[in-house]
Amino acid sequence: MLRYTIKRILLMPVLLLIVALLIYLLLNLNGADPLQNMLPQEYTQEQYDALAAKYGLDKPILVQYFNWIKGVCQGNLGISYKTRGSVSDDVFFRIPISLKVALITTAFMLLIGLPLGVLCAVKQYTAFDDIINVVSKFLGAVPSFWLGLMLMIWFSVGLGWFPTYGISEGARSYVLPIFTLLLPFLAQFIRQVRSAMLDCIRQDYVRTARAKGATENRVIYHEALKNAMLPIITFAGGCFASMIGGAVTVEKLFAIPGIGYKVVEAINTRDIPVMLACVLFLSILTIVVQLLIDLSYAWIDPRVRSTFVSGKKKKAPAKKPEEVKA
Amino acid sequence: MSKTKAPRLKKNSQAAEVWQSLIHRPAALIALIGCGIILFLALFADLLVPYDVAIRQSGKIKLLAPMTTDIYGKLHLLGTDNLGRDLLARVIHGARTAMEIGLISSLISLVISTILACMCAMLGGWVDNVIMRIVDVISCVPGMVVALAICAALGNGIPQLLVALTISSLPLHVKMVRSVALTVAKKDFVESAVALGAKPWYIMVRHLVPNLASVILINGTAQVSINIMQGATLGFIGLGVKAPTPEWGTMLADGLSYTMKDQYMVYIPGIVLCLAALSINTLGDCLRDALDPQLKGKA
Repeated sequence: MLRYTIKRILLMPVLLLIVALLIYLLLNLNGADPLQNMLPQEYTQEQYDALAAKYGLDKPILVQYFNWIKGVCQGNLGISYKTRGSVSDDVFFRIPISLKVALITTAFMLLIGLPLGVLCAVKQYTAFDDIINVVSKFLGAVPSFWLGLMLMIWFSVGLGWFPTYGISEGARSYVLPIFTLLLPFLAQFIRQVRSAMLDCIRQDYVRTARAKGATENRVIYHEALKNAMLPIITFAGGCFASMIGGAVTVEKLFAIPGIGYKVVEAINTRDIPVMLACVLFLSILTIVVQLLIDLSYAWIDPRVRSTFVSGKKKKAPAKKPEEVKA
Repeated sequence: MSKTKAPRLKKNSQAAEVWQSLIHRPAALIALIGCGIILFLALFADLLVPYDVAIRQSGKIKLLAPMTTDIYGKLHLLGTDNLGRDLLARVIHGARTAMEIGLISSLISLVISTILACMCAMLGGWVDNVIMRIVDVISCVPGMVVALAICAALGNGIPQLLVALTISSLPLHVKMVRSVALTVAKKDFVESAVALGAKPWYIMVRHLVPNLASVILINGTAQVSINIMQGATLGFIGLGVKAPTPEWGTMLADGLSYTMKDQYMVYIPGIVLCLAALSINTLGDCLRDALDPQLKGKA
C-alpha cells in the first residue's frame, strides 16, 4: 500500500511535466505573436528584441519550456503579458476563492444528495422516486450558464435579493453562484447514489442482514450504503475536481474572481503565462483528487486493500488493477 | 453467405426489439419525437428558412418581441435579436450547428476510443500501457479546460470545436469502453478464436465490437448531449463557432446585455438547448434500459 502511494506521488511530477509540455506546445501552436500587442504602434527592431529578451521569447520553444519549468520550481510562474506583473501574484490569491466555492458546493451536494439518493433507492418505484428522478433529469439537461443567468434574472435583477456580480457583499454574493454550480452536479449525484444503492440493496449480504433481524436502518446505512460508497466517492471526487475546472462559466457569469474567471480572461487576451499557471494548478488539483480517490478505495474497502497484499487482480472499479500491473 | 446472414438476422431482431420497447414507453416516445424534431430541423433547415434569413442583419427591425410584425409586414414568431436577425431562423439553423457539433464529435471520439480500447484489450502489454498513460495525461486536466485550451490555440470555427470536443471527451470513453472490452476479451469465445489462430484485428471486428455495441451506443447518445452543451458553453464564453453562425450558446451570449428588458433573447435559446439536451438524455436512458437491463438506473 505504502509502495503504491509513494509510486503514485512520485509519478505526479512526471505527469505534470508532460501536461505542462503539451499545454505549452498547444498554446504556442497558433503562431500569434504575443509581443505585437504589447509594443507601441510603431516600434524598432531593438525595442522588439529587448521585449522578446525580457519575456524569454527570443529562445527556441523547448528552451522556453525548460526555463519556465525552472522558474516554476523556484516559485516563479513568469510575467503576465497583459498586466506585466508577476503571474504568481495574480493567480495565487484566486485559488482560495475557487476552492472555497468548490468545497462548499461539494459539501452541499453530499449533504443533500446522499440522503435523497438513498431514499430514492429505498423507495424505488414510488412517487417520491419518480419525482426526484424527473426533477434530476430536468436539472441535468439545464446548462449551468443558462441556469445561472435565469437565477440572476429572477433573484438579482427581479427580486434584488442577491448581488448580480462580484464578491463584494460577502456570503450573500456566493449564494447564487454556488446554487448554480450545485444544481446540475446534485442532479447527477442523486442518480449516482441511487444506482449505487440499488446495486447493493439486491445483494446477498443485504438479504442475510435482514434475515438475521437487523433493523432496517442498519441494513440500509451499514450494509448497503457502506458497500455503495466506492462509486459514490469516485463520483463525488470527480465532481469536486470538475467544479473547480468547470466553474469557468459560473465564475465568468457572476464575475467571481477565481481560477475559472482568470482562465477565460487569459484565453481572451492570449496571456499564455497566466493560462499555463491556471492549467497547471487545475492539473495538480485533479491529480491530487484522483490520488485521494484511489487511496480512499483501499481505506474503505478491504477487498481492494487485499489486492495490494496478494497482488491478485480483483474486479475493482476504475484504475486500480492496471495501476497495480503497471 | 449463410455465415454472414445468420448474425445479421439476429441483429435486426434485436434492433426491432429495442425499437418496440422504445415506442411503448411514453417517456421514450416523447424523447424520440424530440430528437426527431431536432434532426428534422438540422437536416431540412435550409428548406424551412433560408440560411440568409438567419444571418441577415437589419437595424430597422432589431429587438422585436416575439409574435410581433415588423415594418415589412413580416411576422416574427420568436422575435428578432439585437442585430435584427429573426430568432426562429437562428434557432432552426442553430439546431443544425448543434447537431453537427454533437453528432460528429461524438462519432469521431467513439470510433477512435473503440479502436484504442479494443487495441488495449486485445494486444495488452505495452500497447495498453502506452494508450492508458496518454489517457491518464489528458485526464489530468479537466475536460472543459482541455476544450478551452484547444479552442484558444486553434481559434474559432466548427472544425476546431470538433477537435476540442473530441479530444476532451476521449479519455472517459477509452476508459469506459476498455473496461468492458477487457471483460469481453476474457470470454471463452475470444479465447477459442485465439486458439483457432484468428488475428487480433479479426477478433476485434468480429467479436469485440459487436459485444461492445450497446456500451458504445449508450455512451455515444449521452456524449451527443454533453458535447452540444459543451459546444454551447464554449460559444457562450466566446470560443465556439465563428461570429455569424447561428449557435444556441452564442445566441445566449448575445442576449446577455439585454437581460433587463428583452429577456426573451436569453429565454429562447436556453429553453431550446434544455429541451434538446433533455430529449437526447432521455432517449439515451431509455436506450440503455432497452439494450442492457443489467445497467438499468446506472450513471
